[in-house]
Amino acid sequence: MPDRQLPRLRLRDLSHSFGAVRALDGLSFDIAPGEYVTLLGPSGSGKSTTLALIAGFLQQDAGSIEFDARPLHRTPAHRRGIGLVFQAAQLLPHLSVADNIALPLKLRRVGRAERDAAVTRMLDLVALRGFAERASASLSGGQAQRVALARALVFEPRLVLLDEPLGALDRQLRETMQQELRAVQRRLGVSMLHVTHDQAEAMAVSDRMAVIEAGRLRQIGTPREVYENPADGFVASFLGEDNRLPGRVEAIEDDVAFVRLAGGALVEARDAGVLAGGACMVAIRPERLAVMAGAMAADMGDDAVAAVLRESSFRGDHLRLVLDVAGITVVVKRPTVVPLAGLVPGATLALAWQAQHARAVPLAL
Amino acid sequence: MAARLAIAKQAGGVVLTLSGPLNAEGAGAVWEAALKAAAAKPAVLRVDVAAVTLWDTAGVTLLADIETAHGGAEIVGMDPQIAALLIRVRAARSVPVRAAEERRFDGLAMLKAGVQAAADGVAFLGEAVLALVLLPWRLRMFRLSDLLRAADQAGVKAVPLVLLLGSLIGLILAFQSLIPMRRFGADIYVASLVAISLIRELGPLLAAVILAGRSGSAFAAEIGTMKVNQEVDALITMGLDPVTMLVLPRLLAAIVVMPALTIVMDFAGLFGMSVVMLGDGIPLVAVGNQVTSWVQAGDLYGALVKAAVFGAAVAGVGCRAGMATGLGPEAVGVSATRAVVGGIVASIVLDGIFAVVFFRLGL
Repeated sequence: MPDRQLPRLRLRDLSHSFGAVRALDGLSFDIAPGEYVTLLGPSGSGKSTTLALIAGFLQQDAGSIEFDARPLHRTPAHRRGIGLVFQAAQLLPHLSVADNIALPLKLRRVGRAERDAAVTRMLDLVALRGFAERASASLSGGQAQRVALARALVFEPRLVLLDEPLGALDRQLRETMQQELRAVQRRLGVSMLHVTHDQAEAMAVSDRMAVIEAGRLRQIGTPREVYENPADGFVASFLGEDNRLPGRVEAIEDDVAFVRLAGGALVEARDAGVLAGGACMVAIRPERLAVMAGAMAADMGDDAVAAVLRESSFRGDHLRLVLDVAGITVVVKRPTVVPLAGLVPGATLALAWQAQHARAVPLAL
Repeated sequence: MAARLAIAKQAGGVVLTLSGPLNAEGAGAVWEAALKAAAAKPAVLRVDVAAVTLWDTAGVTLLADIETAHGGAEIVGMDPQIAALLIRVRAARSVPVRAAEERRFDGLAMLKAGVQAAADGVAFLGEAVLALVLLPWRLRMFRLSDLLRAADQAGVKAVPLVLLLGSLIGLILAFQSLIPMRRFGADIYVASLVAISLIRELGPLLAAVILAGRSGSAFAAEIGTMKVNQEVDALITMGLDPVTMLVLPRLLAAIVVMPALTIVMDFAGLFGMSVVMLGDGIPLVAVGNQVTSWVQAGDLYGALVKAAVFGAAVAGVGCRAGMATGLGPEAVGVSATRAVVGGIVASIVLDGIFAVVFFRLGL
């Protein structure tokens, strides 16, 4: 994305309270033109409040919202020129699909011929050609949501806000719709801000994701950055399982920390702000751990950590192992490519990882 | 045996030795001393817990607090199970605790909230009036079918209930007043007493109570549900005015149906009263004469004006409660309750104002 351009949307120190409850507390971030940003957080973290402030349903208590370098706070919601897609499609039931899509243009007094051309273009874009005359009440959930997307895009907004748009759809449809959303966004080059509490959805669609919690921005970055370099324990555990092994830093060389675990093993991890001699945690994602059983365990090398298998469960696309490493529970996700013998509860396994995949973090995080 | 804390200074460091039961009570006893030693930040801090005989979460929290206060404390002699507990305590502490909402009686804040609510009400009234004035330009947004549906729901469907309640009220009023009046031989005046109180006061008021209970709550729930489902937000983004689309039809429907309901209520009440009078042996003709000689047309007209105003108040309060619905599934219920209570209170307050105005005008 062109970074030097003016941001399409700029939020600065945005705060909003509902009575005594502070829903947003100094939120700041930018969205570049043509960028797809997701706002990710648990329920009650202030995601929807942020969206309502940008859309104009609420007024912020403090801070500013700039849209193409214009402050927005005096502009009424329908003059902001922002497209919106809600969790429910919110189609008008008495209008046909085409009339629903044409409605924003009709209200903007766009001529009939132009309107029809735009509707046809939008129906093609969301792959609903031939549905124009269908009653909007007869559509399935996915189709209705595509019509809602078309309606949000038809007046060529420069920014589209999506409030958990796929929340009401089943899993398979959600994945298809994620790809479609992304494809449509790339084709039109429109900026999108997508609110969700589903981390998999956020990773699937976004250029950058902003993790917020209790009304504050915890981290913003590409999905890979945020997943592999979480700013704190909250972000790490919100984006997926994260194993944490307590230990003490024995030495730091370049950016590799040598950590003596509580069980006595000496392991390597990427230094993420620890001090030599201090207590720390080795954090590592379950899918980055390698396990070996039986005679092969000896081949893992001196760095391997001994572990006892407590349970293993088959999860279709992976095998989930729960291990006990000197009293600490460690979860391993093992791809089912190579079957492994000897995975019976009580078996002693060897656990190893590559230093760059583990993070040595200070205790407070 | 109580928990003990020994602080030993060694070369370049400090050793804290905890012993005894480190449960809530034991940890509490040594808490401040231990944290003070940790907060002094010696270069190396070692915490020896090998001699601790009993653990619970409080003890582990103390360890976590010592770690936080010092930054690099080393804990030795810990059982693996307790180590696992320590990890869970650390994890729990890494999630910031949201400050609990303070629940304290605050008279000034309540007064402020009351003034705010009144100001919101006035603002809503202004919005509704503005929407009414702008209606000719927004006719496309105003849906006549919505108005008819609301009128059917609030008016036609309320008729059986109004008939039932009206005749019962007439019966009760007549019966209750007949007993003392008969002692004075004034039986016949019961007819005019009930007729005047029904037509001037009770008719419009009871109709307003029924409207608040049946339709004020329904308006609040309908609009509230739309608000919770973001349907109102969707209308606003498209530039459709929710007051014109949702509030005006309901408001106008209530204003139209209330006088009609009042007349139905009056007739039902008079019917109930007549039944009691017939039972007392007074012929229908006498009752009719008594009523027509005491009740004037002005009484009825004034009551119909009142009824229309009550209708506007009940529907306005209901729609406002709906538009002000907060978030979450229980918010709709709260709004519906507010609509009923607010509608009834508003009607009675307005009735008082009408009583003063009618008296001053000599009506």
